[in-house]
Amino acid sequence: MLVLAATLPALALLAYRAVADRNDMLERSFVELEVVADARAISLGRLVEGARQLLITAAAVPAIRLGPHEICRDYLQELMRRFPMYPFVGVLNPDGTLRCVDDPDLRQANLSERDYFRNAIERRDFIIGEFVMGEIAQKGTLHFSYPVLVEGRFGGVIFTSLDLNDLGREALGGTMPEGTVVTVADYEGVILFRGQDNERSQGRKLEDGRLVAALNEQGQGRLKALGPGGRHWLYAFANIPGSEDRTAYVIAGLPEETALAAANAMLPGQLLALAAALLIALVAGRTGAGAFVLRELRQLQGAAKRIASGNLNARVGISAGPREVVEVAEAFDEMAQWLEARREERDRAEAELRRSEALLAKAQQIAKLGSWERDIEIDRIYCSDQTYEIFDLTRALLPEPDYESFLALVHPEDLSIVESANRQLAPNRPTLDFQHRIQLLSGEVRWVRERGEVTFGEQGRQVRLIGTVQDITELKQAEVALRESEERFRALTELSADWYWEQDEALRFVNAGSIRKEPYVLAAEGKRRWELPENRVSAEDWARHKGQLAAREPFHDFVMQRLDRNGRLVAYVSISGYPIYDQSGQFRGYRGIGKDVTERERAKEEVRALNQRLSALLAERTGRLEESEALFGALTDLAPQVVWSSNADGAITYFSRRWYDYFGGSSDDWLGNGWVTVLHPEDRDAQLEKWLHAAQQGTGYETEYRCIARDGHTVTFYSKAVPVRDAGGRVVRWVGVDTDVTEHKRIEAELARSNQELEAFSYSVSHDLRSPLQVIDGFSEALEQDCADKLDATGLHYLQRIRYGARFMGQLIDDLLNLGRVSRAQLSIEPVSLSAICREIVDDLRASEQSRNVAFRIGEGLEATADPRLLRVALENLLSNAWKFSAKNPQALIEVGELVQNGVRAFYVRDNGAGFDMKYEGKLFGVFQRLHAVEEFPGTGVGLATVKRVVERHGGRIWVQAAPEQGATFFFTLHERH
Amino acid sequence: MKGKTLLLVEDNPDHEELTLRTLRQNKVLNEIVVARDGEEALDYLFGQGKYAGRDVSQQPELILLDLKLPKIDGLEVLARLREDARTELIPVVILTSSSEEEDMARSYKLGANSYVRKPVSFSQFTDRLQQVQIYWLLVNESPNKGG
Repeated sequence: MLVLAATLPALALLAYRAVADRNDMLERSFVELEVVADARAISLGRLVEGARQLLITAAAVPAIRLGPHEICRDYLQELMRRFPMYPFVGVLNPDGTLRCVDDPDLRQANLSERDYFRNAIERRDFIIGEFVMGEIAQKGTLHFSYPVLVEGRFGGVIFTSLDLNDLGREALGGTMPEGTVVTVADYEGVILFRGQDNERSQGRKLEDGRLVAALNEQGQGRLKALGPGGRHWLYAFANIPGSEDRTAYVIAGLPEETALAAANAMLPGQLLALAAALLIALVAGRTGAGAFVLRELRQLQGAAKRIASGNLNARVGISAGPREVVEVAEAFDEMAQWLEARREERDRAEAELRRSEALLAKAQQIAKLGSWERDIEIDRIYCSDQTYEIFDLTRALLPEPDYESFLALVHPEDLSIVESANRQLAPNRPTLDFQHRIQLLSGEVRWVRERGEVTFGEQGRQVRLIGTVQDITELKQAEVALRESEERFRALTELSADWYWEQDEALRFVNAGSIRKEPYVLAAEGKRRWELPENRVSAEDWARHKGQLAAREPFHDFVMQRLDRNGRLVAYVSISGYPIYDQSGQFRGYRGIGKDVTERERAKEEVRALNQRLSALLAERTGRLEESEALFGALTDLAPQVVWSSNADGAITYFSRRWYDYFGGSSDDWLGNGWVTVLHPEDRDAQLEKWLHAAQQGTGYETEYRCIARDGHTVTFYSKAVPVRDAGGRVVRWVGVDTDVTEHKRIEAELARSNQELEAFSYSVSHDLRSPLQVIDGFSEALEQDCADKLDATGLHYLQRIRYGARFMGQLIDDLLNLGRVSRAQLSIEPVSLSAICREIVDDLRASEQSRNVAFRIGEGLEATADPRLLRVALENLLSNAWKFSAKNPQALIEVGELVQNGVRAFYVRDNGAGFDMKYEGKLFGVFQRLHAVEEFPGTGVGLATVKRVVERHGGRIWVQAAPEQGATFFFTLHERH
Repeated sequence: MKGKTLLLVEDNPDHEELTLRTLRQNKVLNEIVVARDGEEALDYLFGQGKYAGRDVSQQPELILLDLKLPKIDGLEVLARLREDARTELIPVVILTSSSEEEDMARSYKLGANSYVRKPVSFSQFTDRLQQVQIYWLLVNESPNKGG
């Protein structure tokens, strides 16, 4: 008994320690698993990110999007060669067929049903797709995909896969506790890789549905759940970063029994030692081994007692004696020492616990969060101080609260909420979280949030409900205030906007209940903005918009074209929005307004179009202007004249190159009034004054002036300038041309001199040639008269011939002088009546040969502007020709008239006389050219040449129509050219 | 008409002879004085040179003046005698072969009373001279005629 008494307390202590160790071990294991899960998730995240980068980069490569087959194929093959960890990189057409592959089997594969294909289309984002036991790669793979956009429209999907064994190797990297099994699973709980029994597990679902739910709900956390082998496992999990949701998870698991094994393993050993000691003691006692043994046993017993009394310092202290006793004593001492250490540890832990409990209580107080535990079986509720506080109760007032007393405090209107929340508790739904009001004894109403988790006993019976209660009155009030302000805001925005919209966290439209409908949109609910066919926005603008949304930025005045069912542009809409978050800071979507801005955008477009037209016009004009300026510059520089321009005041602004050829210098020397210095000193003042006067008057300017060129020569310019006026008639500048007439002047002077000489010659001809003829004729006549009696008929005939010859020569001289005069005479142009002149000539003709009976038909009112003397000479010649050549026609008719031929007025003189053959027409107007014998029709052959000269001097032409014996018509025009 | 002279200024002896013949045929009774150049004509009119001492109050009734003359041409002679009070009123008939209008114009400007072109045809010349003679010597009343 003594022995037993000595060992019992030790046994109790051992049991206590075992339980404490067990909890410690579980916690420690969880923490270790969490570390493993986090580390592995991050590591795998890098792999996923690598795949994401690869796909995004490749999707942007033009060869992938639009390139010809070979280039696209080579590009993909190069990718696969460089990144062997991705066994396959492929591009899918919008219909799900592979492009850029040569293999005929692959070309026939259709992957349109694949998750990663459909998701990439639907979500337009990077997708971690489902697990595939590779048709293509022939190994377990995880697919990643990314949409390929061509011109902002969906143009296919690029995808790759990751060898799951590579994934696994990455997942297994690093150190982890003994027995840990790492699993990679997708969001549906499908096992992609497992560190243990991989081949069997791959593609199967996780063993416990609760784990799958926890993965997707929490993303990261810990859970005890069923695992492989039907055992309970400790799990810690973390999602693999890289995709917003529907990601994959790393789950680090450890069988619970393994975690506890260390703790459990200690216990049997210690018990064995104790049992051995007990056995020895018993044996010794029963056999009566002797007093010497008893003494040691008493020592042992005393130590045990001391320990039992709490003195863990007690030691047996036996080191000599029977071997068995010494061993027992040593074992005992060892145990005592261990127990002492444990107790110190426990004391420390308790102190720690107390401290943390105090901390928790304080935290609960601050958070107005109380905790409670409801024992359903005995209907008792244990409440923390803070819970009492929230319900405005004290322990004294309600020492043993039960469910009934709780319900009494629930606001009557919210009883149903509480009851239904409790009713809904079920094994698959063990938690509750709801809000309700409570009515305090004071009558005050408070809002509380209850959260709890039920523990089920056998047959699904609810055993215990542990939870928290939080006073959320202030929060509620704030919420109400917020809602009211939101209502106000919404009312205001609805007034200023045409419609109001809301999107959920996946950016899908939810029914916002706008008072006005978005124009031309039929069914937006559940769709994203860019999925509505009614919206048209450029690819860049969509990208920008999506970027803003992804960054959760507010946006303002995002303009979209609105199309009707037939794709016609019917309106422009502008939307603005901002992100919304719930109380926990969780993104909940977007909310915003829209406006019809059709008029504004149309106006903007018109302005834009107008601007474009204007700038095009301007560019064209500028181009033309430059061209014409260049042309002008080239022309003026090439021109033999000096071209210049001045401003309206007469200050010269431009001289063409010729000016500088004459005068050298640079533009600075001559522009403005600098040019005056080159004027001949005699002309200078007068010219400057003349020019400035012309500039002032705005009339034309025409003058001649002399300049001294740089080589010292005098240059004479004929200068002519015209003012250029603006639309209002104001002179804006002058353009002038100065022609070098120095040479012209010289020739003119020479001509004048030679004319003078000719004049003198003519004079002497008229005088001196005629003089001897007069003598010949005079003395012939004297001879004829005074000596007629001494001459016979022959002699008289000869005298006649001499006199005729002299007179003919006189006529010739007269005609030639006439021709010369016609050529030289200064024209004095004035209105002339041809009819009148002709009648006078006709009178003279009739008087000269009264025997003839010639009919004249002179047109009335034949008018011209001409030199009257010269015109008379011409008409005299024409009419006397007509008179002369119609001499043989007894019914001679001479007509003078006018007609318009080819738009030109021509006068004509027509006779019905002898005419001539037109083949001699060319000779007709030459000097001394005759078509008839002198005996037949007398004449010198100078007359028509004179007529021609007169007509030509008037800028006209002369021509003839004739036929032998059918008369001749002479036509002439005046002033056809100058 | 007696005692009145007629001054013929003509350098060409052929013309002189033909003119004198015509004048004679036309029964001109005046004494005909012939000057063979412009200088001689002026000497006669102003009583100088060869004609120094001539009574210049007795001036010709008519001057027949050729234009083309040696030394001083006809227009010059005309100008000089129109400048001088003693001769300014004497009728001057220009007799010339020139058909230049300028000659004609200048002659009239300088105070010629008539301008007669000598045609090649002598009979025409005869006719014209006869008309001149009739007009200036018989019809016309000149200021110094009666004196």
